Amino acid sequence: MKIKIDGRRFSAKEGETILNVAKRNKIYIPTLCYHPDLKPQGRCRVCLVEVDGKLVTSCNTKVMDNMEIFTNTKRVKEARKLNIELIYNNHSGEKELEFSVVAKELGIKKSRFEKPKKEIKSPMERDNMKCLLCGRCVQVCGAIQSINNIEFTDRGISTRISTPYDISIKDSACTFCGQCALYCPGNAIRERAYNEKVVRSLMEEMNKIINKKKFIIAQTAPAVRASLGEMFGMKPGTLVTGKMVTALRKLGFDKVFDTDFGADLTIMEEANEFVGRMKEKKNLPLITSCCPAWIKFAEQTFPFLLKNISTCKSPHQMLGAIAKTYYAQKLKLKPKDLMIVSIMPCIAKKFEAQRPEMKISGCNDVDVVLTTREIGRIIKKEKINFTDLRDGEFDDPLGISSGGGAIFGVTGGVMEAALRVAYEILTGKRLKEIDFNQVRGFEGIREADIKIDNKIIKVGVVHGLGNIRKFIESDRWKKYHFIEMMACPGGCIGGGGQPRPTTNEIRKKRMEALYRQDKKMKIRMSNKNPAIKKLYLEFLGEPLGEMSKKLLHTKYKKRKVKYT
Amino acid sequence: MKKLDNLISEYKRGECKLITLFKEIVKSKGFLSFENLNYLSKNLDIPLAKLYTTASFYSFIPTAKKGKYIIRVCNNLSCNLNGSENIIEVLKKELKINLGETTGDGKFSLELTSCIGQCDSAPAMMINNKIYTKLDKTKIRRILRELK
Repeated sequence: MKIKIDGRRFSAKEGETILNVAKRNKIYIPTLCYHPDLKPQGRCRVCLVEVDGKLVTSCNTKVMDNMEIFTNTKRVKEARKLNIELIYNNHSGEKELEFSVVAKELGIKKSRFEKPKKEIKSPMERDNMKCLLCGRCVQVCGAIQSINNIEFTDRGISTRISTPYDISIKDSACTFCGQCALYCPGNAIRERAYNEKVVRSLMEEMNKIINKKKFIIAQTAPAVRASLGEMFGMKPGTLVTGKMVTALRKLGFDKVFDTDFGADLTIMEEANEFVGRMKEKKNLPLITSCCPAWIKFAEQTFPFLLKNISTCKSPHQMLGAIAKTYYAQKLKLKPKDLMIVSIMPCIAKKFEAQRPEMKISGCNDVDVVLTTREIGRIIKKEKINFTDLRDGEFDDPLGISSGGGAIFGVTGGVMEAALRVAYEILTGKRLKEIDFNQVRGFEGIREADIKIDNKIIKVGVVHGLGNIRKFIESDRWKKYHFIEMMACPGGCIGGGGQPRPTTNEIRKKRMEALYRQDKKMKIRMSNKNPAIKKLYLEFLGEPLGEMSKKLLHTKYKKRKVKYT
Repeated sequence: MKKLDNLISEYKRGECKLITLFKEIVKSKGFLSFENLNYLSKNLDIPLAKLYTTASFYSFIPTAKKGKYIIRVCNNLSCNLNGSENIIEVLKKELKINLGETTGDGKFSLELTSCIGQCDSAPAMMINNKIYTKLDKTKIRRILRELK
């Protein structure tokens, strides 16, 4: 098919949109509500072009043979500008958002029009003053995550995004996966505590606590090192482990530990749990428990699966519990003298850390959870020049980790790390081929038959809540021995707390970075981590032993929400 | 719920019948309650948020309990140019409520609506299903007195 854009000829395929052809040929068309992972909706009307004397939205208009398109006429430019100005009116204005970048590209600093007064209602940690009504959050919550918790409400100038009947977010079907926040171009939906005031008070709080001689420990999730650099203009997929550690030290944390250590510990417990269930043939398939949004989803929608879910706490909770016992003893401190700050790619972890089960001797395992975006903002606020920092190293002993812990951040990673260890437990032999390529990839539902000795172990890997729902409701889950579930597309590297923008393209780059890290590591199996071995020898005894059960395992209950 | 079940089986043939179903429920119950809509969501296998977004779009499908008389003042172009803003102010004062609210005795609710087709005799309003046109202060007072 031949088409003409701005007088130049291009070939196009049937069914392609004007925007697609333009993008491929590097012709600039500004967009706002358009997102490569989502269905185009033609809602913001910033991507207008002129066809046959009519203005059409290029994101959802398909090309036709001999179509003549103009992207740059006076009429187009004026219409785009007007639309951005009108949207600008409904936004309180903030730098470094996707929205403000588009506005700047079109040369708009402020709107000519008077701002309407809007009431701020926040059923879901949202600020309607920043909402552009682009509808990305609605689509990601519904079409991708299958939760359908938010929708457009009311009509005309009163239109806003809300839960049905404005039911408060904690009583709603929300799993706190945070994908809505990740896709928001205007920062209208965001994690709790994500604003400058809170960030500042947190820093003050920390300083105050330092004066009181609280020992403050930071721990960072595997996925954060593969994405934090993006907040400082570095390319997606850049590993910034060393710089991140140095930045955290500069912020005043006493120790910087690695959640990868917690991940190794999780694998020791979970691999043994799996082997145990295989031997007893009880409560199979075993389903992973590291993802708190998946856990909430299961508790409220699929309570019949709770007995199948691993009792292991998630890695950062395990690390918190060990830091407040084993490590505190070494320092001759009490659990309450320590403050654990988890830096996570995740919003649901904030919810998880508050769960009443996540406690040891009356103290929360983890005190504060910050997202990648939040810590990035704190680093910026403190005027730390991130890109020029020298590489630091995690502190001993809870900073030592294996490649198995590193790949926890990607879909299929927990499965692979567990299989590496389960193989050795089941066979008693050394694992030669460490990579389990069968469970890697980006497809929503993946499965593999893993041969260990003469047994075939059927494993499934599912990511994205929409895929998880499909997987469970179709009863497919019943035919496996071991299943990994992650609520966010791509796993934690695509988590709700990660830097914006995130697209599937960027997710894949972050994924490659973590596999690169795994490949480079001397120790690639969790059971070979010397710090883990020492921990069991000195303190825990054995996996699933009495001490482990007390500190590292949890339970789940059917959760009542107003609707699902 | 039995009545609702009958309605559901009658309308189970697709989303295109949703508005009719909503109207039936409003006719018998006065508004779409959370319980009703949630029940509908489970039985029609449509997410609650999708039902609510549809319902909230329409002025004539209330999603909260309303007064015995729902006053809907038109505020579209013709009515607005002919002083519907004043009419609204008069109503607010007489009833001592704001837009979107219901009087304490549960008698009157005050709302806006889009065009009700009375542009030639603006400003206009509806009370339940009855239309009132060419409104002014005295006319409104008389109408309210009759209903009180």
